[in-house]
Amino acid sequence: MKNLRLKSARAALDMSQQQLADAACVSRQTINAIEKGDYNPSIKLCISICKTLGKTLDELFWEG
Amino acid sequence: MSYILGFAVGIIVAVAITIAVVLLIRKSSNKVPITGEKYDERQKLARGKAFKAAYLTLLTYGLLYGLLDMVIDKKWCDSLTGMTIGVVLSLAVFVTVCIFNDAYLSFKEKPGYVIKLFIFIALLNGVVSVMNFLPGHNAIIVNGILTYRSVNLLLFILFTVILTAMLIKRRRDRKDEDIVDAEARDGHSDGRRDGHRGE
Repeated sequence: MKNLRLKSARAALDMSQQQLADAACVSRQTINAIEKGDYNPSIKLCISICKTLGKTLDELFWEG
Repeated sequence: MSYILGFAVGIIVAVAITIAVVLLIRKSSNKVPITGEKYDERQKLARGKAFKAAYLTLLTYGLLYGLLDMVIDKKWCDSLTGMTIGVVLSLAVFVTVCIFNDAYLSFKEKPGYVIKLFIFIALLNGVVSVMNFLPGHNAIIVNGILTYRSVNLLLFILFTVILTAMLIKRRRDRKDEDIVDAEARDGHSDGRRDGHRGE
């Protein structure tokens, strides 16, 4: 399932996938895979992305 | 004895030339490639799957090679060549699976530098294998048996396959980046579009 909230949060900060990837210390393709729903990140990576985007885990990754 | 010495010297010279070229490429490139073994979690998972595929390839080849050896009376290759073919096949599988899952290079490595290096290695092996086909040189096939001199040809094929996979992947990535850039320019959010699809 696509992670549209992540994509929106990233776009709201005018960040490219590469910039978010660099901040989270992963490859751009990993961020792309998470946004497309092709990969489920570990909790460690989720936290890293949340900190970079200034959001909570619930806001970005909770299916609710 | 002199033949073995010549063989060993040949290998040493080839390795020395490769190292020299690698150092020259690093020096000449504007951005010093940051090589390292840092793969992110997704890449590590993908590499694990690639290792599994390569292992199964090697296992299957080994079984087929042994079976063929038992069934066919006449040898088709010497032992070193037989083993090398297995190694090359499994390497090709591993690298290709990694490349198509964006897990071959770490996210800190520069692909341009690696491509240049692989082109050089492919050409080097290509030249040596062409020389082996020329009259007056040691033949690759002797009395219907593929000899160890085919190793250069095998390596040339391996690196050609790897380079082809890298180029295909690069093209696909550029298309994907164009789509992402177009979406960003249009300012469309997937939420609005995909919402209609119930995603």
